[in-house]
Amino acid sequence: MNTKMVLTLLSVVLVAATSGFVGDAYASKEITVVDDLGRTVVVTRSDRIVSISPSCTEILYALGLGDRIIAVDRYSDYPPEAIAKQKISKAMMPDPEEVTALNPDLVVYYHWGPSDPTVEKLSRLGLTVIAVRPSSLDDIIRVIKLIGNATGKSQEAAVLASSLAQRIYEIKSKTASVAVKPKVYIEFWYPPPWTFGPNTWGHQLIELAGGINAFGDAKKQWVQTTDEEVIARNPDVIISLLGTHHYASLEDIKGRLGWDVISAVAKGAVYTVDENLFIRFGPRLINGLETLAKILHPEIFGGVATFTFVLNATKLKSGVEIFNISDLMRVDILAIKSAGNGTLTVTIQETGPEVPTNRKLVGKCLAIDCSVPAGLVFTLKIHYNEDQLRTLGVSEDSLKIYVWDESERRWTATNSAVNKEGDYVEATVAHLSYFALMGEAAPALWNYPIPLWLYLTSLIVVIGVASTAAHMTHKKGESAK
Amino acid sequence: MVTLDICGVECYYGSVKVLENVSFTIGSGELVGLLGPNGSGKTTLLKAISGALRPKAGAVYLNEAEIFGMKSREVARNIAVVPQNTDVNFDFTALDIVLMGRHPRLSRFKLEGEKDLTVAKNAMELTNTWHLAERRISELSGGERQRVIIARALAQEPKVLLLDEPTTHLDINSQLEIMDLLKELCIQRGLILLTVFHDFNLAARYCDAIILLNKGKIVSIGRVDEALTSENIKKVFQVDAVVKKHPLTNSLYVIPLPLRWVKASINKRFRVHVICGAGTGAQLIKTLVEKGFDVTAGVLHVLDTDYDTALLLNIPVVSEAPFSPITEQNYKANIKMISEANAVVVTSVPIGSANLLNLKAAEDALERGIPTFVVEETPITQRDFTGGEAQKLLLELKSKGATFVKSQNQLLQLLDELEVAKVR
Amino acid sequence: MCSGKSGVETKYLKRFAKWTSITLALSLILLSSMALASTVGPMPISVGNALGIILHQVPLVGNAVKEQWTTVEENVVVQLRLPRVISAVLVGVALSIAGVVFQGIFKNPMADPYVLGVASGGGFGALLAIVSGVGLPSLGLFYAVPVMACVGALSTMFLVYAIARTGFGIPVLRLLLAGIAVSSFFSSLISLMIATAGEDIHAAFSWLFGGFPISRWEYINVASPAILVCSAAIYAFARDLNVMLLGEEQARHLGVEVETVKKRLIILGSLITAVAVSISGIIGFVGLVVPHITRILVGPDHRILIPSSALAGASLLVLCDAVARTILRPIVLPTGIVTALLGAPFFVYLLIKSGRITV
Repeated sequence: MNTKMVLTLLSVVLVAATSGFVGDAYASKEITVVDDLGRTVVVTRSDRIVSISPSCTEILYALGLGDRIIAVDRYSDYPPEAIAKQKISKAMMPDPEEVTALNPDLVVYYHWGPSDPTVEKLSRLGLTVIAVRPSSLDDIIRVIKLIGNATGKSQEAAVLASSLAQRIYEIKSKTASVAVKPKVYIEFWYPPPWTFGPNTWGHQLIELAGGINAFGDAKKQWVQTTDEEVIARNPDVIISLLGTHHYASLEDIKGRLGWDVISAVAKGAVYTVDENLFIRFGPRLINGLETLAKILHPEIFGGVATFTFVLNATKLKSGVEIFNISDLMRVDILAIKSAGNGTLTVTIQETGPEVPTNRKLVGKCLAIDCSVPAGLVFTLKIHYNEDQLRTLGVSEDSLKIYVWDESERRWTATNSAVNKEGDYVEATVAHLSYFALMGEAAPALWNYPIPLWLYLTSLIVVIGVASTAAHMTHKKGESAK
Repeated sequence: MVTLDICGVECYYGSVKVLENVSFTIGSGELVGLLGPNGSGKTTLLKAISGALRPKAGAVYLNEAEIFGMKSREVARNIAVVPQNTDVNFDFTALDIVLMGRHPRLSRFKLEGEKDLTVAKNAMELTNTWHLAERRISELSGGERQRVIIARALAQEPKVLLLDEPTTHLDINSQLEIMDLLKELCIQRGLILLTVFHDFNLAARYCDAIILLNKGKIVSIGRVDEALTSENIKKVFQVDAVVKKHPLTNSLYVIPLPLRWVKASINKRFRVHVICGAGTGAQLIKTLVEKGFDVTAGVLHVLDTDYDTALLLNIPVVSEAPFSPITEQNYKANIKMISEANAVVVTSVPIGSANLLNLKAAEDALERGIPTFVVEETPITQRDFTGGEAQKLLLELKSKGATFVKSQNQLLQLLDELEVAKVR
Repeated sequence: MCSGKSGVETKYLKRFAKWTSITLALSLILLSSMALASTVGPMPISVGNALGIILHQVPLVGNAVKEQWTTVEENVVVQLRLPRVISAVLVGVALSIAGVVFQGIFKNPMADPYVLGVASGGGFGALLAIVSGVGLPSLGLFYAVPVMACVGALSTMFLVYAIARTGFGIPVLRLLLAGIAVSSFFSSLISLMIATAGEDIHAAFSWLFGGFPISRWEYINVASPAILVCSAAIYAFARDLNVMLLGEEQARHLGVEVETVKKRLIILGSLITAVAVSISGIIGFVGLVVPHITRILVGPDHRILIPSSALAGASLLVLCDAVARTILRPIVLPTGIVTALLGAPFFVYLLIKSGRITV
């Protein structure tokens, strides 16, 4: 072997060795995408991502990019892990300096209009910004793919996008040929009533789910209207969106002057749904679509049903009346006492008032209503099965029937008993509201948020005690001299 | 019988004392004038009397009742105020404004009735404004407005009227009309009128008494001729004024003299002696003093107006008793004065036996070689009351070298040249 | 001098009759406006039925009207439309009278009911209630927003009054300046709250733009005695206001207790404005311009100006509210915007025709 060959061999080995590095260097290649504003964005790295929109945060997490997120806007609260992330102080027009100081590789931002200068400002500061502006459900699919591509998660994005597209397609095709399209009124604020006009997510969902938006002819997107207007339009279904400050339930709406003649109210077709399923353009919007479809066309999609039973007061005097529901979930109602003759209506809903964070909902939410509420006493038996408990990770012992307390606005546990052999939980109640079977996921220690006043008072008390103690010891020290 | 007592009133604006120890009494039927320079406290005094300002010491009483303690309504029924400034900027008619004078007499919810309208109408007829009743107040002239405001004050049916320069905007005709009216009402209805005037002559003509105010204190108070003297005027207003009684109206009149001429420095080096009388020399003497000449005059009779002027201007003058011919003594004094002069001027004074010797004195001046000037504004023939003697003397003066000029201007020019020449 | 009354005198003596007929005419206009506004709305209720329902509510006369309408229709008219119309009347009366009072006291044609900062104080109070969650639409607490608004408005009134007071009474210029200062301060606080409001923005904005989205009989029952009593009390000072236009000094000389009258009128004017603001939010234009319009039509005498402005302002607001409710159905416009859009051209027309603007 002469020197030449040794050198050649050495250089070959060297090249082979370094090619790995080189390969790596080339492997972390630049990705070029075109965002919703038509800008060509070159993404070199995406290990430090800042998300400035709750919907984008949800999409990022859905693509498995959660741990790459270094900061989010202050409204991002889903999934719950997002709450712990560092917050940017503003969502609508963030401070460019603040964002730059975080040193992100990529910023994902929801561009809210032609006069929004944020994208320009941030890119001028040298940041990589992807601006999204979806306006239809198809746009959402596109945004998911866009973000997936930009972050090297094209595969995950493709999977998610196709499953979402599939779900949308299913609903769309099934409702396309539906004969009767119910008139839907979605409310997200009261008083005065605020609802969705055309060109909003809510409106699109209604149309796709096989309904007609009662206010689809409005000239604005966000419509402030009057009670009389809603009454005049007489919707068949009312969707009440649950938000932090708006949580009108069937009872609340029944209590509004003049609303009792609306066909939706008379039929009891008032459903409370988490607002985040209707206003954020992430994967959850499709959940909202499915919920709505189930509500509007239970005959096609199932999932929400209303059962009505007749109460005969005389019969009840001599014994208990048992009503069974086995569609969707197994529920038994044993009516014990009633003030008079009337009907008992049970509605099984996909969602109801928001479940506390340390509980998990087993099965579905029940709304029980009665035409003669006073003096009604009944026993409620909700059945479950072991598979449900295992999937949810809920302990059987912790199962309780919870009732929604209207005035306190929270779920309260009833005096319920778990029957492990029969796999049901029973409780005897005397009033009407939402009911749900819930269990604890993990032993919760202290989940109640401390009210501010308590915090302040205890702080003042502690300071007072401490200073008094200090003062006294000081005095003691003095007198000891 | 109503009395307005001002007792030892002292008023302050903040910490500045504006009125000090002001006391006087006015009774029914008296029209009293309040005069004083700006800032002397006139308006403040009116305010204290009307109850708008509280005196820090002393008090104002209307018939033994202290005014400051009374409610506005009560005060308004007795005292009416006509202010200085009558700017009004809105759409009320003149009659509306006058009817506002009835406010203190109407209870809260009562509308104006027949009686109120009659009173208003009377007041407006008296002030000659009834024909303006339905006109908008903002469209009236200053004078018409002022008369409407006076009518309003009258509509209050007061016992006391306080007026702050009520005639400033009025033409002379209206001024006299209003003052005549006020005087008449004062006497007829037994009102008390206290009026601030800036016009001495108007005050002198109508007031029964004058209060002269300066720097918050009463300088003089009393009948018009007692209070309004040239000394007082000089003391208070720092203005020289001639105060005389007018033969026709028998009221005092005041002629203020301009300030300028007492300030000129006197050129002690050039003295001019003026022989004049009957008003012919006043203008000349004044001009000469203004120009800084040292001026003397003689011989002037005591009641002669040129004598008054000479006195006023502090000019050394040889004076003679009224209506008497010039005495030998005075003649000699005149000659002496002339001898100390650099020039002598004889004005177009009418010559009579009383002052013929003055022309002789001029002749004396010429003989001494003192430049003598004779101003012939009117020919001697028109003013010779000596049967030709004066004319003869004048011709002699001419032949002896006196310079005859036709106008004062010419004379002044010549005097200037003379002065310049002499200085060199 | 001729005896007997002249034409001028008779004319003036008959003034009371003339004023009464003007007031009656304006009242009729108001009643017709109220009737019209009550028949208008998205529910297809016939005019006859709507009027019948309203008449039926009148205590004695009502029973004569035969009931041929449905309960639904009755509910809609009585519970939904009528409260709105009556609220508009109350607020129209309050703001117009307050405008007249403040223009008279300050002798300033640009003065309006909010000149002493009452609006900003009220807005701050209302927003505080909304943002803190106390004023949310949960059944028991629907009082919270109006009550807090009223408290806020009255607090600013006291604040301005305390700042402007001197030992010798309340000089008008100091009042105006104090009003501007306090008003700006609270307005900035309001802007701050809106900037940080987040989800409560809906409620905040609908309150601030002014309108009657939340009209309830409960509010009316509390507000109407307050407004009516204040209006009557203000009317008692009508002639004093006339005389005060001459200037404070001259007014004093004519027997008006100037400082007392000023103090009372400011308190009454602010109170009536505070109550109006707590019902309807901030509705501009009415308090500023209605007095001017009425002044051009009936003259500057407050004895007719005050009732005329009240009636005219109420009619204007009722009609504007009806327009606000119907013109862009189903969207409801803020009433304050409609008042300005409709009222301003009418005012300009009057200005040009009359050739002048005075107080």
